[in-house]
Amino acid sequence: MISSLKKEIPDILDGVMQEITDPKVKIQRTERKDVLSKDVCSVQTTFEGGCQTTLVLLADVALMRRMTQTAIGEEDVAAQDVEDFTKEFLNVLCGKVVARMFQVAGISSRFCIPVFCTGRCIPEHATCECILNYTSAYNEGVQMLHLSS
Amino acid sequence: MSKKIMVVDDSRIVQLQLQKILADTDYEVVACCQSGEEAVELYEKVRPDLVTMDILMPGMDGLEAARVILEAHPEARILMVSSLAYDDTINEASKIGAKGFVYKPFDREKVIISFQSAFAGT
Repeated sequence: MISSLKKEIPDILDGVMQEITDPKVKIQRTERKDVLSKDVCSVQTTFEGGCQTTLVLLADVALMRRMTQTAIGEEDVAAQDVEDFTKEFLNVLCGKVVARMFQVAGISSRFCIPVFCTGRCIPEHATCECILNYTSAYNEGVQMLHLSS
Repeated sequence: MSKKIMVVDDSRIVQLQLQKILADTDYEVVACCQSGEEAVELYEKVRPDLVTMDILMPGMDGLEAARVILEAHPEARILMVSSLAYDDTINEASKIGAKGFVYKPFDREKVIISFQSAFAGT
């Protein structure tokens, strides 16, 4: 990845995160690092093409459940709905990130279909380039990790 | 009479969101499927008035499925659905004959306008 783009990545990620998160969910970026509870889920994808990198979203299941309820306007959501929503959330996030990278650096990239897992799943042997932490008004947390191999 | 809409997206959440957005409009979701392969097959059976087609799906992606459908049915109205809003993708979708784009996350008003434009353009 070109170094100028590497510097821009945290701002791009944060901008997109704020843009796509429903304001009703009320999350904000924080300097705190201990934002996650023990009940978390993970979703990750890798970028191919001009920007080869990995993004991992670690989130409290309670937050993703609430976001799923908000997205479909129903109180009653199944675990599968939460998984689908979490994958879709990263899918949308990555689509916007790819578009911003194209605007900022003219780099054309694609990303793989997001993979979901219950618990904290981070690829081995990856170097963490940055971590963005978010917390909600209900003390639920999200971490976005930008990794390079 | 309602226009028949077919939703192609590997996410059930997106299918639900579109169904909710289109409730109480002149558009009725009559069929949903989760892959490009299914979309090609289902199109023949349902013959919808409009297809919303996700781009990134397992197996045959949305651009390829749209290409296959439009080769067989040049009159097909297909709106590509994606968050991949950058020039390469838009150009590719236009080249194969898609009627437009619907961007994620959905904005109800913009979705409806995209549908209206797709029908007005024919």
